[in-house]
Amino acid sequence: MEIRSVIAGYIEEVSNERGFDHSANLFECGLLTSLDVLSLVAFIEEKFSLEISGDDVDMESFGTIDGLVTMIDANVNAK
Amino acid sequence: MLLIHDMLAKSAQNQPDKEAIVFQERRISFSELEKTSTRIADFLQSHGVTKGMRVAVFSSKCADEVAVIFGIAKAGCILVHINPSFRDEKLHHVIEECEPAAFFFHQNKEAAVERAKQAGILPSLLICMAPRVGRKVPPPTHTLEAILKNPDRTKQSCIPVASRDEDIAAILYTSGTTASAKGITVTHGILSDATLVSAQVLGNVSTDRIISLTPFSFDGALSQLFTAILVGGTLVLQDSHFPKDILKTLIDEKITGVHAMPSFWLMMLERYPSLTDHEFPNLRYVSLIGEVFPQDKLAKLKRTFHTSDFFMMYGTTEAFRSTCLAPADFDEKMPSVGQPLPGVEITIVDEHGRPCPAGDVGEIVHKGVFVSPGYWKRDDNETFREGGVYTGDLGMLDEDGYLYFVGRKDSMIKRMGFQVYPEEVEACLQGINGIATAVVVCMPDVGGGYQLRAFLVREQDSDVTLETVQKHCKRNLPHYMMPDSMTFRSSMPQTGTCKIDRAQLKMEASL
Repeated sequence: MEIRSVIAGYIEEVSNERGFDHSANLFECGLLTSLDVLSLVAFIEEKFSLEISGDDVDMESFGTIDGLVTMIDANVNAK
Repeated sequence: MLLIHDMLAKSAQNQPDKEAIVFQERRISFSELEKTSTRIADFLQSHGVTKGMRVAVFSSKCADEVAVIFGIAKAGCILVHINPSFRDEKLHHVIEECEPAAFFFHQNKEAAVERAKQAGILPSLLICMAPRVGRKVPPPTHTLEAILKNPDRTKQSCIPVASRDEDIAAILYTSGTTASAKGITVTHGILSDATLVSAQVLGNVSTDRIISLTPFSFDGALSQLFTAILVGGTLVLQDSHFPKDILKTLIDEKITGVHAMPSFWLMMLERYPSLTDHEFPNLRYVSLIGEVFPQDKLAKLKRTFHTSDFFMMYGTTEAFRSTCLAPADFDEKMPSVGQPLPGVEITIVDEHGRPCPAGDVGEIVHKGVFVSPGYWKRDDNETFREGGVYTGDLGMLDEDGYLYFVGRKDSMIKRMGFQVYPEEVEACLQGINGIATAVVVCMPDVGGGYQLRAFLVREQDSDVTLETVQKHCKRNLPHYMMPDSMTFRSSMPQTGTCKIDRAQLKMEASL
């Protein structure tokens, strides 16, 4: 399962928008709000069987799809 | 009187090279801010934007905004900073009511700007700030970058337009219901007075480094900006709202002052418990505003920032700043929101407008300085009466004249600092195909805030799903108005007089 398409699919689902730039800031573009973060964390934890700590949740990792993919990749490989 | 742009000019003269604004890697000195804001004023003037015209800014936190805010003031224009979380409906309402002559926006807002353009409500003078690398801005939209690079040669230096104390400097839109989203006018005199009083009360000095957490569409954010500029301190703009990033800024940028809502700290304590493990030797003060703060959480926050002074403030945008509880009284008088600021008179009145004795609850009335001249383009003789502001907030004064905030007269609640009317959420839910009735009740939660619980009844033969309802809400409601839970029912409980029994629903919601 490709991480990128899973994440992009989830964000399309919650934001109801299609075809956004994977390097664009999801919050500044209004695709996500800070309230979506908790459910996004829960989704990632369940989907990839990971545990995400407060230290993983920052703008670098959660601000863009690229950042999310890198963070998940690193966590999956560290398992 | 020292107007806000005079404050900038003075600080730029006294300490030209000092950091005025920090945003991520960018450091903007006072002299640079002075120069770029003059260029922006030049640009506005040379495009026919003159004194008293409105200039809108629609942007998430970015470095360019600050120069734009001062440029607008120098050109004698009126700043309308539009809350960046506003969706199309509210955005269009604000634009239509204010009729801005120029419109500044962050490139991340280009989709919303395009829709407003299609609706035919935007002025022809559009300026894009913070363009993303490699992204082109189609003409005739200007970019701030180009304006700053190629100053208008015909007009070397803008002569600030003479503004008087009573001239309107800004219109601040409340987050209230769409139909009633009101523009509160704020004069240069109010901004100037409030800046001087805030700096005095908080003891701000040029070594202060203040973190700016909220958009400049909030009076508190503007107040902090002008205070930092007045004393020659540094304002650090925080764009990320992730607890880890905020903590990093507090420590790395050696922040000395924070001004935030209790709900902000509740979020930090809940989502980032390790906040309490850190030391904050630079943090001189923490000022809190507006909401009820659960005592146990406040105690935890005070233990975390054990070397900082705590202030509690109260005010409505209509009266800018009303009271302050100083650190010396903090422990003794909590949960009071303090005493009136210099020049402010606070009274508590009953429903007939008669003053209440100490200890009685009534409506909080603010008189004296900081009273707005009124709402933009609408009369409201309920709120603005006898030279004062009838706040719609309930409170009481104790024997020593300390104010206690109790709640609201109407159904409005505050969530994350935003005003929310449950009726407006109900209206959105009822707009969904297949929904016959929707009722939203507000339940106090353990954190001292409110949860919104929605109850829905389907139309006959409708099979509308929860998922459809959630999607509709997502598209049409800003995040602070999203219900926390939604429940379908076959019918609504009714009272003896056949009205919907809200008390019964509240009871069900509490189970």
